[in-house]
Amino acid sequence: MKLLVRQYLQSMKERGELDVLLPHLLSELGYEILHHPKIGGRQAGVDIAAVGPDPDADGKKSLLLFVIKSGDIGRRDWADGALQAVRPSLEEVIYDYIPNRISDQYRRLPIVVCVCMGGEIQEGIRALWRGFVKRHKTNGLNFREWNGDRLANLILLGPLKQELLNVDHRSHFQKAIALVSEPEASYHNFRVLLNALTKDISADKKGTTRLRQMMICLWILVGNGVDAGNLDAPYRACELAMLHAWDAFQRCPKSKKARYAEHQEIFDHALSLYLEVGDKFIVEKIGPHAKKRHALSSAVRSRSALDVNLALFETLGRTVLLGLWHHNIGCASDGDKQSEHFNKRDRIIEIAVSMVNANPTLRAPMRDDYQIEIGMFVLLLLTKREAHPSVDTYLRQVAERLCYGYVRRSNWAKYYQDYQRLANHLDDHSDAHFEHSTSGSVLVPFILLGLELTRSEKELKMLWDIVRRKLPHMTQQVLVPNERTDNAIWRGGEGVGTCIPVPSLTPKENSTSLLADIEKIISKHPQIMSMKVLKHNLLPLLLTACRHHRIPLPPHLWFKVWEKTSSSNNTNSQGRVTP
Amino acid sequence: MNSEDIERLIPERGLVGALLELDRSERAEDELIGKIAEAASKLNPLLSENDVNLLNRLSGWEFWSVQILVCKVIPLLDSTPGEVMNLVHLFVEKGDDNDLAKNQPNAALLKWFEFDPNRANEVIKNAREGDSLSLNHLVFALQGKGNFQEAFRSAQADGEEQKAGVLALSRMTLTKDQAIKAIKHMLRVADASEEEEAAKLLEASFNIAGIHPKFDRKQLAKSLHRISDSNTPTVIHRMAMAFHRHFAKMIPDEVQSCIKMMLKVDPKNKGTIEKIDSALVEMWKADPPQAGRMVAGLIAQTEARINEDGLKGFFFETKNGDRRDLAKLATAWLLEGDFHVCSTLTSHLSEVNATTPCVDVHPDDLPSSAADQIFVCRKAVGFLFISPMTAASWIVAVLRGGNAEAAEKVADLLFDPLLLNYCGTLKDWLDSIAQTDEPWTKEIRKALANAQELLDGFEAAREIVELEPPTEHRTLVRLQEEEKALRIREIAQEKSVFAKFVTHQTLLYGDESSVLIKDIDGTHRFQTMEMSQVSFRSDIPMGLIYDPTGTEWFIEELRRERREVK
Repeated sequence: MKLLVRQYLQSMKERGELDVLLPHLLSELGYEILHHPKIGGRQAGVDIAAVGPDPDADGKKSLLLFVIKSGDIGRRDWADGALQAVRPSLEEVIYDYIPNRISDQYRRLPIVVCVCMGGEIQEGIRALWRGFVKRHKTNGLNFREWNGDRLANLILLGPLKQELLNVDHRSHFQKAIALVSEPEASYHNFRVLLNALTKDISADKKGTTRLRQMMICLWILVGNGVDAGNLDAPYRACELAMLHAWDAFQRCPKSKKARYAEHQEIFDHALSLYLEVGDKFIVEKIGPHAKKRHALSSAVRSRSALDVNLALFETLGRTVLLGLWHHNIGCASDGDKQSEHFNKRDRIIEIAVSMVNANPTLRAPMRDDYQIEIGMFVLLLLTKREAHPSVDTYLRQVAERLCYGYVRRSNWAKYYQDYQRLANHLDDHSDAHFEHSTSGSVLVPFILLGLELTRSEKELKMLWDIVRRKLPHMTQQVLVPNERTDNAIWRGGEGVGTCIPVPSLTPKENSTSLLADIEKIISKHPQIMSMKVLKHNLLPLLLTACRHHRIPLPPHLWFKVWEKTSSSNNTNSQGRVTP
Repeated sequence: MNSEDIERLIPERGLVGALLELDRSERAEDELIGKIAEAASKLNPLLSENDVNLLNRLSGWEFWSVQILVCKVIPLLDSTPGEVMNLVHLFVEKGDDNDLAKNQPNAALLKWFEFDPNRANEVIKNAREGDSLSLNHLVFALQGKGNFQEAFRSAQADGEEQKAGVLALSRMTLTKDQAIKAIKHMLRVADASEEEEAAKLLEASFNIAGIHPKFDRKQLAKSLHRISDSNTPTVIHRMAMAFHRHFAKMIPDEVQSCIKMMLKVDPKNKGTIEKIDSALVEMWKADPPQAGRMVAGLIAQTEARINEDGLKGFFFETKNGDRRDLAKLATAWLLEGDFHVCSTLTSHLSEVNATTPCVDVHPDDLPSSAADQIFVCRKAVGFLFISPMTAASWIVAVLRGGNAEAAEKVADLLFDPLLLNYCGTLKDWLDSIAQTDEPWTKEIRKALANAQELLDGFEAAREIVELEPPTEHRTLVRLQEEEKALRIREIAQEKSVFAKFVTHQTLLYGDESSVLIKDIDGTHRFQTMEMSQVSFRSDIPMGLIYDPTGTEWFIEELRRERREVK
């Protein structure tokens, strides 16, 4: 276990990783954090300031000033002339921070300057370090080395200590890490761990501890995934952790200010990590191959068309979700930050459109629940005016291929989600199997409405015709959130919601319009508007839950119908992320 | 068994009983057969009641083993015609209708007649006096006697005697004058007869005419044309047989009438189709385009109920003959564009284990117009998609020497869908062509460059391990593939004729097998054989994995599109 943690610490970067972990760790160990970079950035060489026991002085209460470095500290890190090197940072602390920036209430405390690193001080500069300490050490000022080994011990004695993370949980955690190159197994273990950690989570200190445990485990998993060159399990774990963090946050009463702030901070960290892993996976890893014809399809390395379809829709879903998050954050920001997020959104739109163009399997969903991915893709395209024509084209292509699949009984969209069920019937074209596998659909009404809204008359007529001729047994349906959904959807995605068959039981004869039905459903089922996530303007989080837990997109979110409805209710439709 | 044994056994057991006693090794001895015939000739009657009962009880291999011996004995018998004909009749009746060996006793009877003309004279006389047994065997008597006038006289009679006379004439070697006389008579009768009767007479006429190459066949053609509208299965069958035997000597009108009739064959009549297939084999050698048109007609009109399975001989000939002729055949079929006919090419032109195309398409053999060349190339891609080198052959031919406008339009098909789906043997083959560096290979090099770019993209994307399916999914797919392979093997074994006659053993270990066998001389020895892997290679189109719906759809469109006829 310690080796795992050590390896993880060793690979952590200084910014955004080690300086995020350390405050959590210190808080968990009872330190009071006075300053950390998330809030104030680096101050005169100090990354984190905290008050608490100095473990090297028998636990004497001290003011600890942390200077953080990633990995090992070698000669170049010690003093290469840059201000970010260790020695100049320490001098800055001594000559600027200590005399000028410590508030009066902490001036009487002994000051301990801690050089904190994921690795260790290399032997080559140890003499320099000792010399520096000897020269600057005074009665009230001490220097300490907080290396990876110490941090690992602190993690194992703190957030991950036996009492808090029992043997079963440790086992799942270790498996999740060890199997990071077998993402399905890794994710499964991580999910069990998370479910255990956040089960009946309370809005108190204990609850915060559990969430911090979750984050530390997540950071370690992500670190290992990056090292192994496989970001699948980390990505999925990030989505799940974000949902768990949100669930805990939304349950925490605002009145418990400290806990509320802690929970919110943890959610923000989960979101940041999700965005980081998402960017790394989608933009850096998928992006360069998105335009190349069939390249991503070939990366599935399977002879099964089903495998390719599943893998590509999964990737498209992740891509567009990330784009929607950047759009959301961009809308909530301004200045450079807004531009940065909008640029990322645009890049992701480009990647998603290229993926669809270069991998035609993305125009022929083999699972009915890919309504979620297709729906989110459309939502993302609608965020940018220049991408609007792509919506029409894409919906028509999907409709055409859906029709072909249903008519020829070839790779048609089935409502099954279970792989074995899908794979076992690939060669089964019997009436019984066809009718069973298409007995219900959320995709067909979605596409029908899309074709109607985009005025794709030919395709709309064709799909209606096939629905009537070939799919009379199919129950088209939509799922709308009800009053219980907000409590159930985040952690496990239990199927809580109201399922409504469409078209209505008394449709107009030969009607080819669903719009009236859908609008009626939206207006009669407004519970979605009461969900806390929308009150916090975090629409992408709801989409994350839908994608992750395979919950169909509610019609309120189709083609911005929701926006139309909500704007008529004078509600701001544009989601904004927590600042 | 010696002479004494035979002399003792035949009176005691009768002819059939004695033949059953013969040991297998003694059956081929001519001397012994002679002794049996000699002893049997002394029997009175030749077949006793016991013989008949015993014969009735015989079945399967026992019957056939006795029948073979009887056929050897009959020509040597010295018995009355009535007794010999009765023996022949009983053995012919007992034989299985589906077995061609059923009529062998008749052949033996013919030899018996040939041995002594008096025997034939007696039977001819009795037949004309109305003896039914003699009438039934009159044809052999006439044939055995070999007298034209006698046979012609019978042919001029009515009923069964006429049939026997006509048939005998058709089997006899006639002079040209005799042949003209006989045919003239037969055709006159045929023209006045119902179509089934006419078909028999025509068949006989064909047989006679077939011996005389310079015979004027116009009248034959005319009579044949008269029945060519017939849908009667037996008429079609007879004309198919005649066509098979005499195609080479037929004049165009006869050929057209025969083809017209054969195209009306009922797909259920396997025997007739077998005859047509034999005829097509001959026709393919003499006139491949016409054979191709006829096969296309058969397939199209029956919506492929007559297909490769029924016309095995024809398809074997085309596949194992000249590759350019095969290309011409395929070009003609693709140009016509009939769905069923072109679909036959899909299974016929298989590239399993091949490194070159199944056909040799020459630019001179392409249709002349640009539109037709494009049409043929697109059809080739549609129907021969699973044989990509063969499908590409037409495109390559167009690039090499086809219409420039067509070349521009079909070049794109080389990459999409062909190279886009197949980067194995097709790429290697095109590479070998592109090495010639001739100007017309420019488009091929361009397609190959696109393919290389595609492959480079695949290689680069290998780093995205996140897209790979979980191990358990792979395991499930592998198990399914194994089960599928097992099912295919089981079906293949069930269909194997060979497998029914051999002992099946499954050896689980080792890289060679050693089996103890017994030699003819009775000694035992081990025979050792090295085990080797039997496998075949065939590229799976990538489109069926990366874009199954789009690929199927595109191929279907290519298959269904129609030729613009101006």
